[in-house]
Amino acid sequence: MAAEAEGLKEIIFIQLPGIPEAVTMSWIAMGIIIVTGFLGSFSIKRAPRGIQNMVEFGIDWVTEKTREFMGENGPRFLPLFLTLFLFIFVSNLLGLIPGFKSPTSNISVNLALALIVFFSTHYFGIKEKGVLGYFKHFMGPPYWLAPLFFVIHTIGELVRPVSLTLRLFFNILAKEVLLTLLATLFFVFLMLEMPKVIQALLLAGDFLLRPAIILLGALVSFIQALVFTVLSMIYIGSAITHEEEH
Amino acid sequence: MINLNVDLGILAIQVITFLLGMILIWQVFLKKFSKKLAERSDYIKNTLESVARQKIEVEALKADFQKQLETIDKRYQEKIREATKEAMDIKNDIVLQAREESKSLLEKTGEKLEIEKEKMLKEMRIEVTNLALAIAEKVLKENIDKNRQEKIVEELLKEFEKK
Repeated sequence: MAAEAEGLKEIIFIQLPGIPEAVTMSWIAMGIIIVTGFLGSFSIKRAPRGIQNMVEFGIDWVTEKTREFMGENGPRFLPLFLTLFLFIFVSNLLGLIPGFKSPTSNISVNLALALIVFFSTHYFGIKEKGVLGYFKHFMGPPYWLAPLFFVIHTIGELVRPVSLTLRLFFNILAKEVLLTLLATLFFVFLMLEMPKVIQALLLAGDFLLRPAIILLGALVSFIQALVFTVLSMIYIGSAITHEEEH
Repeated sequence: MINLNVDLGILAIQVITFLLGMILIWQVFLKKFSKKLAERSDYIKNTLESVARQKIEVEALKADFQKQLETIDKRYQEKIREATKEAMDIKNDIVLQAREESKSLLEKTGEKLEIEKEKMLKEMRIEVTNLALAIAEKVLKENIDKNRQEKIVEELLKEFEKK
């Protein structure tokens, strides 16, 4: 989107008529996860191999992360966090394939994910502690400062989805813009009239830089998926934890 | 400029996509995998516990066997000691008996020798007496000189030796 605004239009191969590109890509990402999981679960063996091994590794890894950041309550939320991590990771990686675009480079998609985490945090917090018990936590320990603490905590809670959204959005957007820019520059250098030697050097530089950016993009994709998921775990974990457990 | 406008349509579809995706992920594979992973975890836990139990049992058996071996060894040593003692007693008895037997044999032999000696002496006395009688008879029958007398004695002695 931003790249289009900058005048750099990407070539998107898959585009369903009447459906926004981010939604199409989001469905593709979700489809990839479900199909891979289905293939892995086709014949589950005691000693995992192939896709089953890969899927099990992913599930096990996310389960361990939930335990690490939320304690023994963590694995209860595995479906939410596994879907969150896999969706963001696959979506981020999708942008590295020519003709595809990361749905996470769209702010609305990221905001949707952040809002799911936001509402889940408060829903599970209230479910665990009750309405009064949960909002009591917003008041802070010295009761004479309760109004101030309430305002500060409320702002803090409202800022969380915004920070989650923007962090993921800008990181992935930067990667997308960089890749689009490199692809566009390749054609620009090709069409510009300049000495052949300089043109060859510029084209070679562009050509060599692309794999490095793709590698960097893969790393950013993983890190951003991890950051988003771990922060979500911390938010929900702190909402359901009782005072005495702190 | 970067577009920071939120498209409510995309946002709503994304929320639905995510929630539906989460349900599908749970139904299609996560439930199956969670069950399988829990089963495997239980299996590993049970196997490890069983191995630990078996190890303790084996240790107990080993200790028991060791104890039994020690008892057997003690008994064996005791038996050897007893057998050695018994053998020594038997040996001593045999030696004692042999000594007694040999002593008695010696005594008997001595007695026999004594009897034989007595017998011999008796026979010799008889012989000497007979000889003396024979000499006397010859001396009386013939009046002979000293040389003849000595000759007769020598002959008689020769006769005696021959006998």
